[in-house]
Amino acid sequence: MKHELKTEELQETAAIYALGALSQHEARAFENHLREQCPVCEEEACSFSEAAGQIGLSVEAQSPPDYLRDLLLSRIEKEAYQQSSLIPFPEQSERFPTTEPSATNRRVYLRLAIAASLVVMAAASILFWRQSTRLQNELDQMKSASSSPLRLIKLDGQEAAPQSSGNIYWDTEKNRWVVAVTLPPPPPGKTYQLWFVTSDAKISAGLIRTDSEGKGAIIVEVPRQMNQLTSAAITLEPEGGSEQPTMPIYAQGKT
Amino acid sequence: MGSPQDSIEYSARDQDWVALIKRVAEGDQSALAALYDATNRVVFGLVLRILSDRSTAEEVLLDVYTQVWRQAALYDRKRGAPLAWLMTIARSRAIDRFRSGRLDQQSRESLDDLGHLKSSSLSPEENTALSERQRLVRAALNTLSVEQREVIELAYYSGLSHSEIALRLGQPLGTVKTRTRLGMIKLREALTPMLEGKA
Repeated sequence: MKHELKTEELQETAAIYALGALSQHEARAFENHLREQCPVCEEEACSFSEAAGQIGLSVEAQSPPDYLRDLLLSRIEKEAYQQSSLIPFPEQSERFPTTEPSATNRRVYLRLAIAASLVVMAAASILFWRQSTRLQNELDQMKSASSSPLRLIKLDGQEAAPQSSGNIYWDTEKNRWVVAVTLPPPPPGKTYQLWFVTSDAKISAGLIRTDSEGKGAIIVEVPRQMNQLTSAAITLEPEGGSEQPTMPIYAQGKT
Repeated sequence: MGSPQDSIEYSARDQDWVALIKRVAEGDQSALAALYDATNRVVFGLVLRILSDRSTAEEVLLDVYTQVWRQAALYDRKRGAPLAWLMTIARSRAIDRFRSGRLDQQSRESLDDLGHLKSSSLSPEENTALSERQRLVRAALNTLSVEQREVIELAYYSGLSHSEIALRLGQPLGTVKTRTRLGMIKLREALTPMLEGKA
């Protein structure tokens, strides 16, 4: 039955409906009524819903922890990767595009990146983040396992690249680093390399590829037999990496 | 409080949000990052207010933006303003989570005790349009009587039905309904400049 007039009862139902506070049964009945195309009720329900939709904006803003942003971006990165997994692998040499990648280039880049990630370093097993369906799982597990304390190592840009930054989430139980960094684009033929720095040695932890925005991430297993770790450092090295770091250090953080 | 000029400004800013959501729908990850940067504190504030548990709120926050990423293509401008869309997703995810955890959360603090959570002001890089909106919505809520505001906020933040609200407040159902109606009419009127801005 269509309504001719805005009655109080009708307004009440529409207002409570807009707040989601009708019982299930009442809400279903009201929705059925709206489907019968009652312009009076539809107008009321719509305008009350719009008003109700704004209520949440009145809350006090609260800051979530910074690592949630990294987690979110790695999660959607994984979904983007899965969506593009049907694109055939291009028959090309392992050169990375140096220009800003277009959508197609980006997929090529992705594929090349995956191929490049299959390199296994002596001291650590590495997963390049674009390859990694594991990255998200790892982060999820680390996040949810309260028994697995996370230690944060903040990486700060050094003189060579002051705007660089990054976070290392150290799962001390599994002895694993999840590394998320932002670095300036490397010159052609160069790549970033992460190092475990101990009191008496610098040991390669793996190569870090960055995307067009300079963001990169890897998971690194920390060797157990290593001496006391003092810091993590990132240097710029020739493609393929080096056995010992080439100075200067681009980003560094104390453990 | 609503001059036509206000409406035009809200409308112009809504266009920016709509453009951002459109880019997210096209799979642009930097657009999602930008949307997150501009809105995460308000969304987290809402989710935390509903759940009052930080670690659950963090999980829900991730779920909210993951849902935005997956469903941005479904966003329909005609059915609501972009920020309201985002806040509605956040509210439903948080209330769903709250309901699913209610059984083992019998000892949850009462809603009245939640005012003391540590808050943070919006960061400078956050869209100023957002803080303006926050002010406007708060001002609009302040036009309501204490009783009207109480029933509306209980419904919004706790997901209780009107009869549950009546029970909780120890008031007759009819009273709760009347307060809801009168409060929502006032709220709608006070928010007119923002709501017309979406047209």
